[in-house]
Amino acid sequence: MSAATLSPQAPLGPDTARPAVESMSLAALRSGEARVVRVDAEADDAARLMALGVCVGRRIEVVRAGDPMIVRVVAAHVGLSARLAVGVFVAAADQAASETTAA
Amino acid sequence: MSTTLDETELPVLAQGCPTAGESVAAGAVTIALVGNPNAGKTSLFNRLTGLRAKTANFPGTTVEHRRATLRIDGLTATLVDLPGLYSLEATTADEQIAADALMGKLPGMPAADVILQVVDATNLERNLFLTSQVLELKRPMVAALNLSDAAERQGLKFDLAELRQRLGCPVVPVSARTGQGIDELVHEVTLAARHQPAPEIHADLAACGSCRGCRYSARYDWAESVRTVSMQGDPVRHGRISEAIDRVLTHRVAGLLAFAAVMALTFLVIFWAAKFPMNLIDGLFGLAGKTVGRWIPEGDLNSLVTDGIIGGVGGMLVFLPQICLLFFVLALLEDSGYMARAAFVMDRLMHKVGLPGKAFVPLLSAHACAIPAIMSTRVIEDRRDRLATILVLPLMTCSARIPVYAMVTALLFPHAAVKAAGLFTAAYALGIIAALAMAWIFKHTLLKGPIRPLVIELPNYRLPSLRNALLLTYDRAMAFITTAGTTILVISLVLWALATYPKTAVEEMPAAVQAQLAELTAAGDEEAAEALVEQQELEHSFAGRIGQSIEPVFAPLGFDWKMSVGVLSSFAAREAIVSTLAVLYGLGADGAEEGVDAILGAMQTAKHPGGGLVFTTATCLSLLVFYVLAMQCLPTQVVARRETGSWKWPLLQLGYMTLLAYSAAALTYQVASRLS
Repeated sequence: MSAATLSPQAPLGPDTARPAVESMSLAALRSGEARVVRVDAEADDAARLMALGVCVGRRIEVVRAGDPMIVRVVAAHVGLSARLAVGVFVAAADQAASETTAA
Repeated sequence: MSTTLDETELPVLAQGCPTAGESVAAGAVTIALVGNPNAGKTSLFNRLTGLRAKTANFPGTTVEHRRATLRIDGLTATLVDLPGLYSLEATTADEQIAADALMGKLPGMPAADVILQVVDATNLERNLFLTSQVLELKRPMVAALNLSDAAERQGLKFDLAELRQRLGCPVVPVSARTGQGIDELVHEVTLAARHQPAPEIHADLAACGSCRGCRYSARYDWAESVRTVSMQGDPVRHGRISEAIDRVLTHRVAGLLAFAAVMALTFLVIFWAAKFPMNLIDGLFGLAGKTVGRWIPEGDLNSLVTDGIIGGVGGMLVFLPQICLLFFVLALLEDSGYMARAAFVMDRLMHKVGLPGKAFVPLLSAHACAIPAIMSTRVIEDRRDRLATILVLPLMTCSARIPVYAMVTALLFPHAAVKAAGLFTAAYALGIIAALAMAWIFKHTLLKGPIRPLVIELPNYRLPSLRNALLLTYDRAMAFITTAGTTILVISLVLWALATYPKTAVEEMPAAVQAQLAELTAAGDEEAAEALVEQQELEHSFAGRIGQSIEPVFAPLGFDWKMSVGVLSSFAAREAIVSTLAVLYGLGADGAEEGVDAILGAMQTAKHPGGGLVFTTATCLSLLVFYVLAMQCLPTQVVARRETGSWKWPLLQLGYMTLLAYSAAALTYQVASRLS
């Protein structure tokens, strides 16, 4: 489970000890599936995003790019501002998966 | 077994959290319904309680919830429908209150004896996130797997035994829509209420709960693992239909057009369909007035009952059809899932004035009546955004202003239909622009705060529930009648008194008037004589005297004292100015209804004592601008106080709108009179 790979002291934010994963912001992801690796946002906004499923380890797919954009996550559609999407970092699905199995 | 729904008194709220043993012994059990928004929680609640439910506030707050008391299997149970939650970690004050109420941390509200979580079977994984949090409260719990009929249609299959084991509590598949599984659900809930079993926390769940890492991630991992073992089928399949519809409805251009079309259609339906019941109510109350008028001997009591009470109540109830239709249609749109799309497409535009996309629906609703619009601002999560919306709502042209607009445009453009329509539209536009401008100002000064970025779930489209919509409409209508209704009635009575006293006997009237009266009676023209008497009586009543004394205040706006009285009478209802002016111009109160042309004729030729027309173009325009922008609806203020929890905000509303209306009207008059 990806929870085990996270450092207990730093729930959010980059874990520099990990091998570098090629990640990009959700705003840049135009299509295809990816996995969320990091969520950088203000406390309240982050909480709302994560409660809806946009949190580390979840598969995410862009349904409609733009501002605001629509993503599919945990089998539901979520609309969010591009401003927030900029702070959500994703990696291509297979990359993130291999990274967690290696841990 | 069946549920017998008896009407019983609400149990007195315990001072502290009752222990499990106590409450069961006393027979009063609190069952809290919790779940994601769009999980069908309200449908389930309505199915269990129907009309028995009452809306109440959480103690000491303005956050509402619905509650009902039932007798189930010998137990007296209070069902509480908590607001929808995605997580027990709240991001808004309202969510915090709901979470506190569930956990028993809200003073005055007993902790739930049984928690009934409504889980959306078509969205299992996301719903299980909340489940993991609720289970950890270690209170007796039952999970209702709702929308199981929709899940079945999608080809989803559930391993209930596995689910029960993973959750550690009873899981009952139900469909609030068809009623399937409800009996079993009630059975499980009563069992839980009687025996108070704590959920058997599964090992996996315990592990993620103690994890200090990203709590959200851990819970979702657990939810995913549960979903993988207990559910078969692809939940995304149905989403693809909604996705296809959304390709149009969330498109930047097409989506906006669709939204405009939906709103236009909504208002057309409301205004058209409301006409029949409105005429019916008008007719009924007119008849009631005449009938009762015949029973009571002529005099003050007669006038009080027919004009004051019956007139006042009728004038208030006549708005009910529009309000009910508005709430009904909005409830259907919300239930179908469309409203989330509307908030989505409007978000960018609304951001420009500092408001969230969700604010657009109340702003539009205010074109029917500001009162239900204020009530519907509850969907706006951020308190500052909600306040800003409430403050500017009354600037939108409501139905009560329409008779005034009609009167002014007819005065100015009696034969130019196109110009009249243009002026009408300009008046609407002025209201909208003023509202958006004031919203911007408030969000940048008084209610300054970060504009929250949009995060919203777009649920699958579904066929809206008529029952839910009807129950909601009934609830809102009752709220309108009790809050606004009583206020309107009181003001109508006060204004009736001001307009009736002191009385003027015929002998006290000026000689010229008495002579005229004698002439009319001799000629047999009773109607005209009566109208003349009414005019004199109004002139010399308190209302008339107040109007005459405040004339200097309104002089810069180009109003004479009669218009001042009219503006005063508008405090009960905006459209009252039309009938007031009708009386003051000698046409009698009935004259306003019978022939608008007659009153217009009188107004067009009215002259100041010193010569010069009263209703010049400048005066008409200034009157129009005043009515567009002024706060002349005390019921709106009462509702605003209720929704905001303090008089501070409605008073601010009154203050800034009066200032705005006065200066804008004065400016209009000064500029227009110099130009013409």
